[in-house]
Amino acid sequence: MITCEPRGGRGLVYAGLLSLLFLSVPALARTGDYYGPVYSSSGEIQTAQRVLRAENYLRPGHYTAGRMDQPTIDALRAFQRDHFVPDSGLLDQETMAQLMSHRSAMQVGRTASTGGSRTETGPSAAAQYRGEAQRTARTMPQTASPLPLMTGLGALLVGGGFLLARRKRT
Amino acid sequence: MFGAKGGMRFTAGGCIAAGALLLLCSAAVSLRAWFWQERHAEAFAAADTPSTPSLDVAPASRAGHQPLRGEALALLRVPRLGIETVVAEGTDPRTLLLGPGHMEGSALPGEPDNCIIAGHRDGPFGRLRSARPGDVVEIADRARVKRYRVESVETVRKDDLRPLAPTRAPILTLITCYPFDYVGRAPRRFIVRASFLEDRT
Repeated sequence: MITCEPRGGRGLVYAGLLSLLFLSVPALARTGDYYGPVYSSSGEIQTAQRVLRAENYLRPGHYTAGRMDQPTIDALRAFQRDHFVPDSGLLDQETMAQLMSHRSAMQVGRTASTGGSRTETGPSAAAQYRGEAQRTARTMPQTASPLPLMTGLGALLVGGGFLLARRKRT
Repeated sequence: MFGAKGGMRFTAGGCIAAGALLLLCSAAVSLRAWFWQERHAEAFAAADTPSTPSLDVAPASRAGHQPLRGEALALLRVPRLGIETVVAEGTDPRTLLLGPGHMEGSALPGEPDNCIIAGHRDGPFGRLRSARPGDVVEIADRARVKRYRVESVETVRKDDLRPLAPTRAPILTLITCYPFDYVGRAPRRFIVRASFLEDRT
């Protein structure tokens, strides 16, 4: 049996507030400009560069494919400003999502710019990208139904609740 | 602050409320799946009778039509096991709540590639546990019936993606969770592979 003396009660409140503070730290740390992890692999940068080139943010021949060089960063900044993403010049998740939504322009861009693709690897990179997409597309489906778990837990809770209520009355 | 008695009552009430909510949710989900199955089974059954060729189905919708996620795709039957269920397009969790799902990007039934259909083991696919080589699997489209013959039954680890690989021959791959009595996310997958037999109108 717990008896709540005034002092004990206040102590509990302090402890609660303190734990609340600790619990809120991760949430507070997440605020600010966090737009997901930064993409850094060569293939991902090349994909981004292809879209940027197709959208005329990046001039062909003035950048190195697969590298985050200055022209690429500048192009990325311009793209981010136009799409209301904080212009960090980083290839974060938000930016990548915006770039991917422009991917249909890539086909047009590839046929339009035949010359000056000195640093661009061309169709092989595109094929690589397509293969990658296909590989990631096929994952083993989750065939575990949530229904039995939900029903079981629900029944358990209802049963336990009724048991508790009855015990209290007697 | 409430005393021990009040706390007890509060806990009991909370438990009952939460439990009832969960039960209600699961009932709603199963009811929705049941209605969905009934509605679409009717549509496929109408097209299935061989005496009356379904003229209302335009030829354009038969060939080259890519189904959208969540749409009813076909009626899957395994006569020996008593399985008869409507297959939806897509294997995301929401679609799988309606019934077995055809994996997006895999071949459509009858096409020369791997056609992958996955389903919850507590649905009709639970009966696959007694599948054995030689069983006939029928997939009834709105216009045609494709028949497959079960070749092998196996279980793989859930990160083993070999059963999902594209193939040259028309193959049907049925997937469900493996330990059939497991609670939660099962560690293995039960794979039934069937080869193409014939295509009947």
